[in-house]
Amino acid sequence: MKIEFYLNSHLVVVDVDPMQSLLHTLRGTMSHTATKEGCGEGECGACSVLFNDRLVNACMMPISQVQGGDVMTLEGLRQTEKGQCVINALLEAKGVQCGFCTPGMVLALYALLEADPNPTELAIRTAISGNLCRCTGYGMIVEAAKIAAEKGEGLW
Amino acid sequence: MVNVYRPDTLAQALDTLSMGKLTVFSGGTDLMVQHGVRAGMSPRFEQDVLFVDAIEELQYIASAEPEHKGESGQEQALYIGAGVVLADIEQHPLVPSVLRQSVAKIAAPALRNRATLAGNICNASPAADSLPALYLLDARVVLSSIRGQREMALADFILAPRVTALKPDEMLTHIVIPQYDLPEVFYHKVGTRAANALSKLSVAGLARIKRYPKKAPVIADWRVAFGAVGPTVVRSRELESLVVGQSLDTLAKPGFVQQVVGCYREIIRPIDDQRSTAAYRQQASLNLLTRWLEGLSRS
Ligand SMILES: Cc1cc2nc3c(=O)[nH]c(=O)nc-3n(C[C@H](O)[C@H](O)[C@H](O)COP(=O)(O)OP(=O)(O)OC[C@H]3O[C@@H](n4cnc5c(N)ncnc54)[C@H](O)[C@@H]3O)c2cc1C
Ligand code: FES
Ligand code: FES
Repeated sequence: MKIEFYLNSHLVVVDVDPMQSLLHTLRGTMSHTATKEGCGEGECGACSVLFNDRLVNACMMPISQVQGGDVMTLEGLRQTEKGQCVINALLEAKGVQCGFCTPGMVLALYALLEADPNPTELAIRTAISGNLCRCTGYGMIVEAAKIAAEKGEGLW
Repeated sequence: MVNVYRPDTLAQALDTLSMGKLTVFSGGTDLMVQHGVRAGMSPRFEQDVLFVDAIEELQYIASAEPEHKGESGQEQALYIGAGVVLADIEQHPLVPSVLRQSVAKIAAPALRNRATLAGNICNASPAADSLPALYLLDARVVLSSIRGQREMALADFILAPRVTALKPDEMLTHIVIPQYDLPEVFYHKVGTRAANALSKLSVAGLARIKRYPKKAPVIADWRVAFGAVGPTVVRSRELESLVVGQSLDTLAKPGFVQQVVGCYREIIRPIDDQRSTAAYRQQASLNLLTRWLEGLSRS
């Protein structure tokens, strides 16, 4: 089935099984591999992307539901000033080790700061509660959120 | 490969449903896990799929006069469309606090941005976290098909684990909550971790205390419901009537609380499963009930 949607602000068309997940479409069909596959069932957040400006798990969305919508992945976000701000904050806070969770974390932190430019510690922890990190530990990632809020003042 | 439909009007959706066997698909957060096979493969659905996420008519939260005035003769009721996602319910000022608190504990933000309340209800899982709050609020559901609409109490809609009163050509279109404004709210979910863990058990409570005359405040309304401790939510109006009408002084007597807790011990009969044991579930439920009653007596 032909599905048309915006991917990182560009109109794209794919011809795929209508029940195939957005994650599979991005990685398998379109070779956009920044979005990671961890659990495949909504638990780890490695596949987080923005759909119509909201954080979603790409593994849980059949591509049919993406028809006519707007998807933003790390590939698109890193081209923006806000995306760079989050990425730099993660590097500064040493919030990245193996990097597998990082694309999802960047999207989750971006979604948080867009909604709440000065988040409390609790708001930060809630915002990343669906994003599992196996190796860095959450302290440094929470720190990165604070740095991005502070350094990005006026941006968010 | 199955056929998929994604109409943007309710009329089209009901027409499609009348054709025969279809799976109604909202956020898909239950369905994708139930039909997932393995990484890199498309989920396998046996029936054609009707996506209802594009229907704007189902995406609203509003208060209005109820069509059928319930036993309570409420003037206003809250209507939640089946397309509303949990994240919007969690944020909405018109939604009663006990429901907002329950919904905020479901999964994690990205999931709540897609998952709907209707999906949580229709999945009819014993562990569905919105259900205890909805039972306390005496929520009703509206089911629609090309034959028309019918409305029923949520407690009559959920028949058993994963079984509801939905007919094959029907879908849930609205959730109706009579506008109870009960000021005392209790909610506690027990899970392995704060996010993305299904409940081991949960307890929700609502109450109103009549504080005039000042000398002898009386419990004018009191309710409690338990989730994940039985095939469906446990709520007993009969046991609630033991507490309703009592003075706050009576509640402060340990003997009274023990008596109430003893009665609930008889009706909370959970099972052992991979998430918890029956003994833990029962004792933790009763401890939370004790906490709810003791907290009220001090309020
Ligand atoms: C990682 C993860 C964590 C989770 N954590 C929790 C949790 O903590 N608490 C909890 O309660 N649940 C949890 N869930 C389960 C799930 O997210 C919820 O039950 C959610 O509310 C389902 O909504 P949905 O819109 O995604 O439903 P869907 O998956 O779209 O549908 C669920 C069922 O309802 C039917 N249905 C949906 N909408 C309608 C309708 N309008 N009319 C008729 N039938 C309909 C479908 O056919 C299906 O049988 C979790 C799921 C995952 C994957
Ligand atoms: S791969 Fe989607 S949440 Fe884990
Ligand atoms: S950095 Fe390795 S999983 Fe988070």
